[in-house]
Amino acid sequence: MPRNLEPPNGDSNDWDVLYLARGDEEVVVHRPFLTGDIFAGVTVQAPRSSPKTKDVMIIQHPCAMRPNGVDLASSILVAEVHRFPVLTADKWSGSGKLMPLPGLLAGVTSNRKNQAAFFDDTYHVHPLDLTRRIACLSLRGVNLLLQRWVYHSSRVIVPSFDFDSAVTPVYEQADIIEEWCEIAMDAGRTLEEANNDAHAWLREVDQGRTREKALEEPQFRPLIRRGARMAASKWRAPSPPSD
Amino acid sequence: MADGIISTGMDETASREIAPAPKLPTPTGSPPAWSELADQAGDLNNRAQILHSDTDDLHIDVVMREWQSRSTDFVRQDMPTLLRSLADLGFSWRHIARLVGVSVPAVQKWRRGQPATGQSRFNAAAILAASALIEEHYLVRDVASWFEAPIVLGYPITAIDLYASKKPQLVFRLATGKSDPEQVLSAFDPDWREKYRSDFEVFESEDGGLAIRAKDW
Repeated sequence: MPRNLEPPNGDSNDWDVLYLARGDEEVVVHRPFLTGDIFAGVTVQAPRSSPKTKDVMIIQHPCAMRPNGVDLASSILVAEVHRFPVLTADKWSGSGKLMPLPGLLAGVTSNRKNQAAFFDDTYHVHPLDLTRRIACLSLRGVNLLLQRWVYHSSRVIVPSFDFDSAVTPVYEQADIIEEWCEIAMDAGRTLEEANNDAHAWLREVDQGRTREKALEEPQFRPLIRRGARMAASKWRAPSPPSD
Repeated sequence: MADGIISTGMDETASREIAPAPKLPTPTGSPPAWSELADQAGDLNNRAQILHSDTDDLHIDVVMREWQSRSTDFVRQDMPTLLRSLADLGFSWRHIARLVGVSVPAVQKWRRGQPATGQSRFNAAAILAASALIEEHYLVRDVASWFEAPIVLGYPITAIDLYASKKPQLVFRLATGKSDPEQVLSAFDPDWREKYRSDFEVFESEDGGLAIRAKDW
């Protein structure tokens, strides 16, 4: 079966499947940065030009963003995001120079809500300059972004389900760290402490391999999620004794 | 129930009468005509297959009714309790969202106590009911793991995909362990082999991370 660049959801023009969160109400501040995150108002500088403020999306692979597995690299590859018309599902096989982001801007009712990330307009930024995250892609969205970015960079089309197998463990990790931070910060841990605790727990060896590594096996994921929820909950103060 | 996935219709299987099997001729008198015996044995075999298929359908119909009944019991719990129970089984929030048929932010809002529609609450209860039923009847341990595991090794379709596509009958058929997983996938998507065939494979690279490469030719 010949492969093309894939639409988000078969013939459907339902774009919600692309996003995990959009807008301040939905985006969780303590979720780790990941491929496909979109930021507003980032200062970027193209070669031989002066600095400008742009909206951008991280297009670097999750592993390349964190060379040691924990800390963000000092230079993150991003692509400019700006207005772009909606591509219907049958048109996603073309326009390989961009990642369509229909309905990206939550709360905007005009066509301005429809945007795209442009692979020809890329920049390197420091992670501390990524301060206002306005959207995160779903796992499906990340898989499609990587499919299009790889195609743009190498003219090779890799099925999105192959990206899914390779990316899901990292995405799971981001989900687990987000929830860990939510639980531990409720109990008084700082974001940095909670983040470090979560990473340390994921890197502990359990039954012969780290939990981080075990996330590569689908059947172990529920076990690790349950374990993470319990481990993060230990920071909660015990309930006061009832009279 | 426009958005629901529980069907209440029981087909006519339960009331269908099975005709008695033909008797083989007794070995008295003239020797049996082998062609006649072969026809009768073939007929018997056909009837057995139809009976097997009918009882399979009947079984799934009854399971669907039990599922509906248990969902109605679970829906008495409030939404945060239902979600907590699903999370305790090990489901991720994005899988729960997909199974209920909503976005992840919607699930997060319900966790914080914001109200859910009756249909969403019923859908959440239905996942819990399906999980309980599968664990109890079919002795599936760690039901969330079972939902997430590929149905056929090397192909990415899972029971979550079947359920989220509103085909719970296939989930129950799979859970019985009596149905051929490949037949279940064919009922889900007749083109699954071709659609999910890939020239690439995921492997563990030198740095320990997962990577993608072309398969051997």
